[in-house]
Amino acid sequence: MRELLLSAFGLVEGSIIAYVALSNLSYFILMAVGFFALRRFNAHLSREEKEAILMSPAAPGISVLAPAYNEALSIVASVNAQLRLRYPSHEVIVINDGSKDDTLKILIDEFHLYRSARTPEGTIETKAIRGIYESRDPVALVVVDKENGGKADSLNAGINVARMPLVAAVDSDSLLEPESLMHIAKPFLEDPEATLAVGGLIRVVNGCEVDRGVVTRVAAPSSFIARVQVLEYLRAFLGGRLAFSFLNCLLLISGAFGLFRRDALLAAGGFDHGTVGEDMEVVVRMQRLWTERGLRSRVLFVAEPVCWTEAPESWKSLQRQRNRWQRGTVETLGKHRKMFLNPRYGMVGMFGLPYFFFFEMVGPVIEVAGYVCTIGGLATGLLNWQVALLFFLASIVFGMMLTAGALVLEEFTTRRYASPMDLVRLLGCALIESFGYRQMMSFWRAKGVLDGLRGKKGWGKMERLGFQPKATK
Amino acid sequence: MRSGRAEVAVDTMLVIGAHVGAIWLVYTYILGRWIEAASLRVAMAIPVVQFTAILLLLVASLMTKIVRARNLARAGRVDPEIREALAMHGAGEDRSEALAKLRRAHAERTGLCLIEALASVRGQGHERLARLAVELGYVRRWERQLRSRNRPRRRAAVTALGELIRVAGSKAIVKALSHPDEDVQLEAARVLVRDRRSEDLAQVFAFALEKPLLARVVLGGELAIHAFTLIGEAIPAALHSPETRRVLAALELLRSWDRFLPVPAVAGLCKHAEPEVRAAAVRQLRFALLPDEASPLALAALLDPDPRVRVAGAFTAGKLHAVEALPGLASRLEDEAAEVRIAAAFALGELGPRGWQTLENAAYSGSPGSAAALEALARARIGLLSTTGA
Repeated sequence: MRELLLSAFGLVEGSIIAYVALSNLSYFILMAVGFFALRRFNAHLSREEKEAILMSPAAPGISVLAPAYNEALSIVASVNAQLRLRYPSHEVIVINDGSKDDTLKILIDEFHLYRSARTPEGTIETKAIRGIYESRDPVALVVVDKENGGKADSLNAGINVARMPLVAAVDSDSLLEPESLMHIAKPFLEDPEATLAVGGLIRVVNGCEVDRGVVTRVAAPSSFIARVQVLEYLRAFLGGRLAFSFLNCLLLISGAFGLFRRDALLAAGGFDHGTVGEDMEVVVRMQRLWTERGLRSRVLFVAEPVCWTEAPESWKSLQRQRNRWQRGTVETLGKHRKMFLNPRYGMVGMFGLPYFFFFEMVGPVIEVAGYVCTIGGLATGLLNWQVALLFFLASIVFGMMLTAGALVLEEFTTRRYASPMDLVRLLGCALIESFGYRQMMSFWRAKGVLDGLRGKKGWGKMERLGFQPKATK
Repeated sequence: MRSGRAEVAVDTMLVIGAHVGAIWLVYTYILGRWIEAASLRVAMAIPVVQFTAILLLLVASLMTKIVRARNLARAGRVDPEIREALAMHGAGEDRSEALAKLRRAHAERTGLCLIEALASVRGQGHERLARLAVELGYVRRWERQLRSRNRPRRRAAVTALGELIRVAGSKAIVKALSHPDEDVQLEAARVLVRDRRSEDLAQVFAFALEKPLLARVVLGGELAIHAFTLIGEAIPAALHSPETRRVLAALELLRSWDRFLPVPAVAGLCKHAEPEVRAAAVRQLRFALLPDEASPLALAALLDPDPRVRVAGAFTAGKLHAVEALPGLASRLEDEAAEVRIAAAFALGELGPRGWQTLENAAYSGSPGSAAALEALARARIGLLSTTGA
């Protein structure tokens, strides 16, 4: 009996170790692909090219959609920064999603808004719009005041009101670099017919100095929780988004900054407000629709346009965020399971979705099972120390090396953290991340999977500190 | 040279291959002595190799920073001498021997200073420096750099060769139009256009038509200098092309120039089979024909079956301040397509008091165009009339 138990346990543990090793190995390969793709394709626009684009009437106009809910603290700075973006033709549409504070009043007073007769032209159903405002000043600002309906609903209202051929979905507290619209619009100029959506690089603003909506000094955050999120973002973008973009099976464009074709969004029915992963779900849905129509499509990630966003600084907010992301993944994969391993849907169906299912969705559950089995096995004597060491090496050490590798590769590519001390701090964080934080994250994500399968809804609340100019020490 | 995707694939395979090889070496020759279990040995070998790779990358990063700092320091020491010699040579004093010596000792710095000098000097000085570059062998060096794995170096090579066109010819640059790297292609096209000679203009124009919109956006400004040459033959030929893509590309180029250029062929395109072409042609009317020729065509576009063409017609009528379009625009306020109603309303806003009167009548009529009319009126009153999206 004990022999049987030992073999069964060994088989389970062996399978978990093989899975974890395979997961990390695939991540390593994607990182290599992402790194070389970044070096080859991340075309930095020269000064002359930027000027040519800025002066060209042929560059497609962009409506920047910024949903806002209780953003009284930061809305003026955010809107001013968005209006100052360098692009030949763009308008900013702020969607006040039933804020309970003075967000709308502050906007009206600051930008001299008047109630406009502008009507939504789009056909996506949204919560009722109470009013649309435009500015008496010569700024291309539109404010849509509506009943509260959530981020997806707000974006849909913005899509309906927008008049430019491209719409950029941003978080109202996202800080976009001045030329980010130019860079993110570039793929649409390269292939206007096939390009459906483009995502930009999201970086953590915690620890950086911000002056009037512009990041003036980049620095690593001081808190461990924010620092470790810097690493996670780096890993995700270098090892995930870039590679998937290169392989034309990108499933996800960050809700903090993404550019979409307005007609494609309208055809797909806009963002789904019934899911918490609306950013992933809409991208998959658009690609699905275009494939079913027999049309060429591509969804890309470009590392040049940078959007700075505030990472959660409290464990509770972080937990809610990761739980929501995981639920979003479960909901999207469930909704589009028809595409799974279906050759009709090309790389998205044959690689993108299966990868997300096997490694992003199932991965945390298996990893947690691995920790439980390993610790339990060691405690009960069902597992010998060599096997436990094997699991430790395959999951923790390999993962640690991947994170450190992503950080070091960043030195050769985008290189935002100029200070060597920042690099040292982040490297240190990469080493200790795997002892405690990673396990906690796996557990939260595994719970997120279960919550997703149980159909849990809701966003939760994130506490914001706001952007304040910081004095250097 | 390989295409971009092939390059990425090969590089990735090389890295994976190197890793596998290194893991095997560590597994066989280093860990074999201490660890018996094969699986444990593999599991140990992987992080050992990765740790070593990370260390090497960190060292490489540090070395890159040191080399950069040293180059900067060297540039500070050496560049003034090189620049002075180049300036004197450009001014007429023969410094070719001294520069040849400097080239032997500091080939890279001399090349960079030479490019800077060529970009900032014109006339006889430029010609002297260009000949010097040929004599010092920089043409071959920069042609070799076109095959470099470093993208910025490839682009810089094109720019550098572009400065030598009048002396060394444009063969290398014309060849670069079909380089696997699209950035190099675009830079080559820009260099050829900036040279202001017409021999290669036809090729660059054809390049601009074949390539995506980005190429036309970037080259549009540069090609504008040759607009009058191009509207003689090349553009009309493109507008008469049976390929819709070429016709649209030529119209995009015309639009990017944003100025009056007589192109009668645009009139015929207002009846093209493809609505996209008709819409683009109607938008171009005010720049291609005289107002009394363009207005009737804009008015006719208001009745087109495709809403994009009707939008273009309304937009153009507004920009032409075609008062005779009033009735047509007023009827478009009842159009089934919202974007046509908005375009018509904004166009009426540009027609002065009579247009505003029409808008006021529509604004309070309760018809589908009321909202658009109200919006256009408000904007006209604030004096901020613009036809967004047009």
